[in-house]
Amino acid sequence: MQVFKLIKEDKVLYVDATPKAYYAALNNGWAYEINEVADDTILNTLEDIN
Amino acid sequence: MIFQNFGFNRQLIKAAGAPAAGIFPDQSTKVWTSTETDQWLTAASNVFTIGNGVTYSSYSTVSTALTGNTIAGVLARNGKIYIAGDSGTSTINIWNTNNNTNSTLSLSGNTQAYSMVYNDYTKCVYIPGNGIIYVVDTLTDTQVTTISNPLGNSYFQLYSSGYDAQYIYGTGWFQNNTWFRVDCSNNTAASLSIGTGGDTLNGVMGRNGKIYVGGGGGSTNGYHVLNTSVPQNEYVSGMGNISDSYRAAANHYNGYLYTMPAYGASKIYLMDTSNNSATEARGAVTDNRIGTTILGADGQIYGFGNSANASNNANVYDPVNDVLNYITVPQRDFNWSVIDANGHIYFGQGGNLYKLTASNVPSATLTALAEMNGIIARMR
Repeated sequence: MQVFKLIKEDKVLYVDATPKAYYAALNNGWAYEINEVADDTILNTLEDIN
Repeated sequence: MIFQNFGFNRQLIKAAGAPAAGIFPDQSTKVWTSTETDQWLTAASNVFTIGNGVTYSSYSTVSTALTGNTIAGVLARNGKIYIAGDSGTSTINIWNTNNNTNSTLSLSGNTQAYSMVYNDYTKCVYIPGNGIIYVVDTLTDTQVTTISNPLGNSYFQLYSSGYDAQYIYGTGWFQNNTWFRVDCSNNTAASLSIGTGGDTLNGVMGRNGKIYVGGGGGSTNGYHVLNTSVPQNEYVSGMGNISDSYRAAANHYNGYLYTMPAYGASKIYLMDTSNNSATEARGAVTDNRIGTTILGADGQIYGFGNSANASNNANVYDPVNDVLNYITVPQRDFNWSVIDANGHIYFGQGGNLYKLTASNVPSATLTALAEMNGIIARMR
């Protein structure tokens, strides 16, 4: 599964790599990397980005 | 057959007596050159002139009942706005600006549309889905086929034609920083095997036939440029290494592309397409989350916010006098805007569709807008 690893200051989030998450990350100043993780990985939510 | 509408429209303009024949680009020409784009600018400077009396006041709500979480829209020659959502539905909305009615069309799968293209050569609308492009014929309002994203990834962006209307262009957005091209004559697509140099957001064709695309989160360039005639990737200089910066540009009749800031940037830039350079047009604007821009019938650039961090304002920029004004709008999450044949500016998101109503539009401007409905597919 493809996810965004989002990084801001000392915080790290993993969210599903969707357009909504992409723009939410941009809007809120998160840097990102695209990572592959196991399908059963528990992810953060869009609310966590905001 | 497909060019009959062009001749009809041109006869209407001649009958109306304005503007003079020969000013407008010959729309029956599939392959444009700088001659046609310069004609566009000349025509626009005659009818979209700042101070021409056109006014936009408060917004009005056109509909609150669009289907799906709409996020993208495009106007076709037939006066209809094709509006699609970002996920979860296969239904698109078709808003008819001629009679203010909505109809829906069910596609063969869900849309994933953050960008849509109308092509006046084929009269079709191209709508992103999950790894595929839906092709909808606006003459019949039916889906005619699908085209696979040649890059193979789920999400991608689509951009207008360059000089040759046979082709529209796209990128792999944040998943694959590569350009691709759709051949609208046979509904095939192929990678150009040219890197974009970073994430790519919304884009528009410049007067030189190149595609100008705002850089996204993984980019250190304000604007990426596809030189469609080579083809090759280029950049706009003069904006510094600004990540997450710009995603909305519009052609102005003065020959420059204007872009309003998004995601951390703060300035309005004008871009000179003759040398791919950018110059600050206005610094330190307060509203720096602009998702879409459009040239109004009054010659001003209208920008709409696209973030919870944006304001509930349309940003109205007069590039001639360097004046920025605001019109209150009900939301701040807009990704598309169009101008119809009456000069009204439509924009929407989710189930909602709004417009800024144009008043006091001169007859020559109205006539021009009617013809330009087909042109905006190339030079929005």
